[in-house]
Amino acid sequence: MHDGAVEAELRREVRKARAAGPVAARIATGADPRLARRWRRLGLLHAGLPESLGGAGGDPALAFAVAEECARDLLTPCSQLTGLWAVRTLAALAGDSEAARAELARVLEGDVPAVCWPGGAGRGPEVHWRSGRLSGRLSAVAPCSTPPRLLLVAPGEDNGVRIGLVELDRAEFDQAGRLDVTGIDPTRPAAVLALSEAPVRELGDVAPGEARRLRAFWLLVAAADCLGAMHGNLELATAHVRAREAFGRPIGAFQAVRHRCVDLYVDVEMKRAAVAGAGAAWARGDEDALADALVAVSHAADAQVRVAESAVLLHGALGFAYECDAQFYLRRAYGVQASLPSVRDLRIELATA
Amino acid sequence: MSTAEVASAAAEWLARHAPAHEPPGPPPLTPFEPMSAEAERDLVTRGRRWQAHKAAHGWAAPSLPAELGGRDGGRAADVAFWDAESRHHLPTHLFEVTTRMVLPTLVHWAPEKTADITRLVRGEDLWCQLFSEPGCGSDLAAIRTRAVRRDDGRWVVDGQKVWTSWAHLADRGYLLARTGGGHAGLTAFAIDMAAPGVEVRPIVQATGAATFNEVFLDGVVLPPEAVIGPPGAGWKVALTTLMNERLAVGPDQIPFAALRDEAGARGSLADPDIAAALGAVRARRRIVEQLRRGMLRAVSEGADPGPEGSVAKLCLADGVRAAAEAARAILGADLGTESPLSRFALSWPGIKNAGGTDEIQKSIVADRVLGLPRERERREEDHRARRRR
Ligand SMILES: Cc1cc2nc3c(=O)[nH]c(=O)nc-3n(C[C@H](O)[C@H](O)[C@H](O)COP(=O)(O)OP(=O)(O)OC[C@H]3O[C@@H](n4cnc5c(N)ncnc54)[C@H](O)[C@@H]3O)c2cc1C
Repeated sequence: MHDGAVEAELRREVRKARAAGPVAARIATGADPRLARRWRRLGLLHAGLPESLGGAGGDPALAFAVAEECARDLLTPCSQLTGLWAVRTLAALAGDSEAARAELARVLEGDVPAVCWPGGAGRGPEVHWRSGRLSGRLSAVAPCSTPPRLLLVAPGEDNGVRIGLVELDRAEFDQAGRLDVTGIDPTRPAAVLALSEAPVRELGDVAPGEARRLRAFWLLVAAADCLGAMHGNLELATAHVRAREAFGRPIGAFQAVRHRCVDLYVDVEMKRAAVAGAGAAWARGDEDALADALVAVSHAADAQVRVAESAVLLHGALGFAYECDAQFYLRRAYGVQASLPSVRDLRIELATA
Repeated sequence: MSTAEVASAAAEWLARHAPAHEPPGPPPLTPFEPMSAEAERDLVTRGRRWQAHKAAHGWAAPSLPAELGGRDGGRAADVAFWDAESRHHLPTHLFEVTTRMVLPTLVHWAPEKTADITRLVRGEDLWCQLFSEPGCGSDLAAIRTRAVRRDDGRWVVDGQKVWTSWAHLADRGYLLARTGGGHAGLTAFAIDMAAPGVEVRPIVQATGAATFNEVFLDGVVLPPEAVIGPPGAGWKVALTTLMNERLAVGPDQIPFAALRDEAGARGSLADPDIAAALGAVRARRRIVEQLRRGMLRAVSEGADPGPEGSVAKLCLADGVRAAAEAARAILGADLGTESPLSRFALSWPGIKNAGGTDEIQKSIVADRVLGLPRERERREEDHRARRRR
């Protein structure tokens, strides 16, 4: 089922669509609507999604290649990431729910909601969702549009999940006590929403088996996202140590620096193997795909931090300057680690999965 | 007075005099907490006042002779005083380059500059250290900023410095410049930061603060007496400073108590991961204190601050990183929201690199403490590179 040529073409397209220039400068100029349109036209959310659901068909694992490739440069609109989650989540309901099908079509057209799965693929306390009303404090990865439309996955019957859509109007949204959390990672807007009895439109339930599969997907997209950023970070760091000179030679000639770079590379390759293996297992529909996804994501969160911290140090004082890209990779790594379930919880789950 | 006597006399004096000089608000978690220009100027004013107050009571630099405002206490007395001082929230950190690095360098290499020393000791002059350049940091001997002596004995300086802490606030600059080839072609100078041809541009840091700067030197004219130490002795002068820099790093950079309070307030001390991380931070801070005590003993027996300081610096820098990790654990998903704690989580690379990177500290220990053979190629390369200049 896997088609290397399709994947390679997809990656090429993503690379071509990337914004150029240092991250700090891009953030200062703000979101570019032309860039957003360009990304929408790529139709990345369609990759690997069955044609019957409005997708482009092909290997379902293509979604992981998309997540990875998009994360490389930190500047890809985060709607690409949240879109991947939203699309598969809605696809899991599409067989039974007209509302889910409509929402799926909307997402595929590029109108992407914020997404949130507290406890499953994200961190955060449980939310209370009763008789069409939602209360609690949610941290969500959010595309820039405000007020946000929020796709929520929450525990359901037995080990299934239920899925709902929170759509706040302006007034409700202002009331919701929105906190901006772009502080740590300005390249990936996110929001904390303190909701109290907000209306939720219930889209449907996902049965336990399919819910496991959906969760494995969410975790794998997260792991692939880490992989992409780690790879971009490795390239940034190795380019620097080739160019920067000290004591009459490039610093990349010093063993301490070489070994540090190799440590980064080993972390990236471990991650790549974990994501590729788990992605293939997921695409085949293997029983233990969730365990493989837990392997990938529990390694990802820590490894991304390790890589980012090391890359900052390789830049010397420059790594502490706001304008240095290394510093943004560090912010990304910290932001991602804080938004995923804690590594300890993931490992405990893995031990008993 | 023995070092222990100095320490207890200092503690007693500080208990009476520190409270009136405490800046408002809680102490910042990191020296890289962003500040308004106004707040920064206020801190400079408070720092000057505190420095003057210490000078009036003989505590500005206990190592100095009494006629310069000290107590003839030796270097160990200085360090004992700093450690006692760090237990209070005082406006000292802007003056640390001045009092802990520049002052001992002047005292050692230019004791005749009594006017400069006196102004410094009394808080009248804030100094910055102009060493690093865009092309070199770790490899300090490779600096390219030039000082050329004119026929009338004056010097003209051209070049660029970078990462200069407090240059935007400083009255004076301690400059290392090239006056010839190789290590013997370096000379140290004192410059006036308000002199024509000196331009300072701030550099914003990862935390949003801007404590360091780019400094452009364009035809800056210095009088003959601006030289610190003999012309051509700049490398040795710089080494004196760097050794003192290692003595200057204090355990208060690891804000254990503030982190524990924060965890307590959030009810997260019950989380075994967070509690264990905090325990490790406390251990690290304590060990830095003990390492400094060992250094202090050596210094009070008359030794120069030696490469053992590199061990303390390594331990400290990693301790700050560990503290930042604990801060992230305490914050959990709240890390995303801007807060002093989230900025602290981003501040550790500042401590890691300021005053020499881990790799450079490790090379010092390998060469000078363990006496390991040096990387052969590196030695040859060094040699060739020096000859080329
Ligand atoms: C917060 C802060 C404040 C500062 N304040 C001042 C100041 O007031 N005045 C001033 O002059 N400077 C200041 N500095 C600069 C500081 O001294 C330099 O950052 C430091 O010397 C490292 O130089 P660099 O940044 O150019 O890194 P580089 O020398 O470019 O090093 C880059 C990387 O290469 C590694 N490396 C270099 N050489 C070797 C080797 N031989 N073997 C193995 N690894 C090697 C380093 O460890 C580092 O990881 C400050 C820096 C910071 C972060």
